[in-house]
Amino acid sequence: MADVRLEHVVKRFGSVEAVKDLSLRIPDGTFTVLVGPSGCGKTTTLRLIAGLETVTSGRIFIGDQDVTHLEPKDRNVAMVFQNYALYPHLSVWENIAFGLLARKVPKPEIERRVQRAAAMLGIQHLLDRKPRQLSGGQQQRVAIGRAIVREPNVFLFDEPLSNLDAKLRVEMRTELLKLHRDLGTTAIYVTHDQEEAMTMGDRIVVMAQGEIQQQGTPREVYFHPRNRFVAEFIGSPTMNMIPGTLAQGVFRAPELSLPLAADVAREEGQAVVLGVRPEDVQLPQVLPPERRTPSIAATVEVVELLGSRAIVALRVGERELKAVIEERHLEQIREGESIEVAFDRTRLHLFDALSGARLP
Amino acid sequence: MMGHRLRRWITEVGVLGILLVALVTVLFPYFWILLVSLKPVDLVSRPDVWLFSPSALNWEEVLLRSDVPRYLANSVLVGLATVALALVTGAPAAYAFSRFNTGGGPARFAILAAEMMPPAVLIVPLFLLMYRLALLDTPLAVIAAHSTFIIPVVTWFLIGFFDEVPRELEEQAMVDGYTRFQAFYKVVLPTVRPGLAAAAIFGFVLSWNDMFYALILSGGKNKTLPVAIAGYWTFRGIEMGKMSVAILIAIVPVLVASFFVQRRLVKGLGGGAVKF
Repeated sequence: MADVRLEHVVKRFGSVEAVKDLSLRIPDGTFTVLVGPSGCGKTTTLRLIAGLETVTSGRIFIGDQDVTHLEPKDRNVAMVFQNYALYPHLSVWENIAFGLLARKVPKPEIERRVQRAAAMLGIQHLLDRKPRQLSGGQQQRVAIGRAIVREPNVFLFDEPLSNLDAKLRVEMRTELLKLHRDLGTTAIYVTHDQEEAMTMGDRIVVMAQGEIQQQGTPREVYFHPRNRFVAEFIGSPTMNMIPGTLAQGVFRAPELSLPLAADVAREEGQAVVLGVRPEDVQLPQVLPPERRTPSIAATVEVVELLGSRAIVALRVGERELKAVIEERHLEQIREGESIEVAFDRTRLHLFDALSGARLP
Repeated sequence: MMGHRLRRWITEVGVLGILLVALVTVLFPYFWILLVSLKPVDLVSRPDVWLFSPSALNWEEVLLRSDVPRYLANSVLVGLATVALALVTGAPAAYAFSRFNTGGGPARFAILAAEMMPPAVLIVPLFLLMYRLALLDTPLAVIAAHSTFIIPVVTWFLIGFFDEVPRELEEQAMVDGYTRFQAFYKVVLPTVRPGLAAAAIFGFVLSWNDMFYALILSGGKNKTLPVAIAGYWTFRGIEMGKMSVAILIAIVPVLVASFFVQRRLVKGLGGGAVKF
């Protein structure tokens, strides 16, 4: 087990800078998720840690060892790929044992580890099969088993669940987390799915355009996004963004104006963007009086019922706002009618209109 | 209802009829050669005679009292050696083209340049080269000549198979503790086995059927089978009976091989082995 450190890592492919001066420390034993849109450099970062790509500059450490120039085989990491990458000509047993054979682990020890991993994953009965005789979920388990038996310093996961159907994906998430808890090995997990990142990560690293936008716990990233990109990327439905200006502690936009708490007063007339998460747009009576903003008139456009909650599309002036409303409040909300809504004033986010940075 | 079934019946009979014509067209020459090889000497030049009591004389002559078995062995030797050489050099080359795009896109096709040239262009330099090396009239000369076009063809053929292998497979092996070369021969090569088999058979047939290089570089004591077959065209006329026997000996392995190459090709290109 070991922590992983990247120091000023740069990776260029020709003229494209996939990873820009990235420094990151992944603490020992954590489950860290790298998340971002495609092309943000998250997979490249993972491949750099695995040694499948070489850094253009910078250093990578696993534990106390500088692995920057080591071959993948000498880094003692295990990786699970999106397409599982099972060896099609080998049986499940051989697939799982393959890495141990490379390391000349004694035969009885191999047998013991393979059996234990198979038991953990519930695939003992599949050991004699070939990969093509397995379902997607079973192949996934074999790929994970192959990583477990290696007892590596670090697990690397490259979108391992994206090829599974929705139900199985949610099941495997839980199972992976359980495994991580039992094994305690440092895990780095790459996904483009912000929900997966939120539910799985001890820590989340949000990336865009080869740079880290924010790192922290899921709560920190969700409730205190450092910039507009993180605010919009994390959370579903997306955070509502209302451009306007700040003057004398009042936020003004064409469709609404809101007095803000005194401590968010900024320089006069600054162009800002107000961010409100859909669940913080509510019927006024739902929010405690000390937390709600003055009411805003809105027209209900569409109500999408999800079950216990509904996503309500509202129109406020020229702007569309999304609200997530609990089902029991829905009777007051009908498509086409006008209602009053309020924001939770303790959960408003202000961003600089130009830089996108959070205004504290 | 009836009309529909009748129409289907007619279609099927029509298709069968066309297949039958094709089959007869393809098989009739072989059949005819087989007949000639069994005809008594006095009937060999009488194509109109269909009924006769078969004679094994031609077969005895060729198999027991001629050098044809040795020429057959030469052909096998040349074919196997060429194919072995082509696989040992062609598989890594194809892998390099597929993974590292060695030499850029055009290089993939440039390697076929020798194949596109008329063999006559290459034969004079090859002849002089073999003369200098004192390899004329040896199987080695033919192996070298065949390699000039079979290695590129096998390489080119294999590139597609390597392209089909997901990169993650060898990356997984490298993370698992193997070097790139180990990953290549422990994981990638077994995965493209159907392709290797097809390429091998394909290359073998190319070598087996060649007469031009074999005749000029090794037309004396160390003939290959095609040259030996042509040798039955003598100044006294064509020895049709014996020639037919030799032709059949030359054809059967190719027929069997094409059967396998076809099955392997379908398997290799249709997925199943590579895709999962």
